[in-house]
Amino acid sequence: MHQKKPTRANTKDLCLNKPLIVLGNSSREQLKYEAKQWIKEAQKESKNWGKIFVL
Amino acid sequence: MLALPSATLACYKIEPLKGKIPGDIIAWIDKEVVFLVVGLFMVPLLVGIEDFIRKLAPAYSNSLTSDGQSTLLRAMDYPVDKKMNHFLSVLRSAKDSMTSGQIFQAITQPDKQLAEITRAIHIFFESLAKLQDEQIDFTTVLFKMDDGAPVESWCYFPESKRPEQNLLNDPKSLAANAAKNNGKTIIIQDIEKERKKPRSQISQHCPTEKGSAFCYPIKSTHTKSIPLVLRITADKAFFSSDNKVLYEKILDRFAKRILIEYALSELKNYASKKAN
Repeated sequence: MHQKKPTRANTKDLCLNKPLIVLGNSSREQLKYEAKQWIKEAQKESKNWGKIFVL
Repeated sequence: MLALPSATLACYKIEPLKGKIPGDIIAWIDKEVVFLVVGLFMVPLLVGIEDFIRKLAPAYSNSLTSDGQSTLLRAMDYPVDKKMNHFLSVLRSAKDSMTSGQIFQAITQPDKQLAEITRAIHIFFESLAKLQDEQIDFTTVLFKMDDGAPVESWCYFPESKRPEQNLLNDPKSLAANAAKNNGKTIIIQDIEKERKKPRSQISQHCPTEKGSAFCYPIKSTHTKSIPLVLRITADKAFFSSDNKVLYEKILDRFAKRILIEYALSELKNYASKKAN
């Protein structure tokens, strides 16, 4: 398969590789912080699920 | 189980033991001895086959801890929360003067929603690594595909980590390889090792990348195409072929949600083109 010729639609992206969508608030630090929060919530949830399903 | 044939034969052969077995049973054993011996020798053979199949069968049920499963639920809920907040905000501010078309435009944001799902996937893998006490930096890119090659980055995370620009339209990129032959998940356990291979699946435009990678094609059976490919790289060893099925099972759930938003996005584009 040969290199695809840039079309008018994708020339801009070839130059800049800009994403179609930028959400913002998604730096590495922010994403790692949210992961930490998710784990905290997950650990709490796991315990609660465990209690709910104990017969 | 393996000792069963020899134990049974021993009972039959040793006279004091044989004496304790009722005569009817001994007579029946004598009559059906051929079938019994074949049957008894089949037991270890079947046990061996079962072990062999178990070894080959992809095990994933025990690979995700309960905390990991709760994090997965959180990741599933995350885009739903975003969508719910958006819908309810529109409902709060909706006015009688709004037309149905305006309401539709206000509530549907599939492009953004697709990025939110990708963001949730990224945070999920960050969480998984953290649960394993591993300090890993991930980079997640969702590529829009055309004719088997990535043509656009729909979104990437972290947003400061722009993917190598020459990856777009590179038919030898990892995303392009994942989209080949009706799509297949690719796991690269060691990117540096893979790069040295003569038919490396890593693009020549990523000469400094190291660690491990996971590439997942998002297939649409309805349109018989692969419109999107998700590429996640870890800067250290993380993605392993042993967990391929686990990753696929997880991503299959996200893929359904991604395809809904993708279809909505395409339909919205189609409708607005038709209106103009």
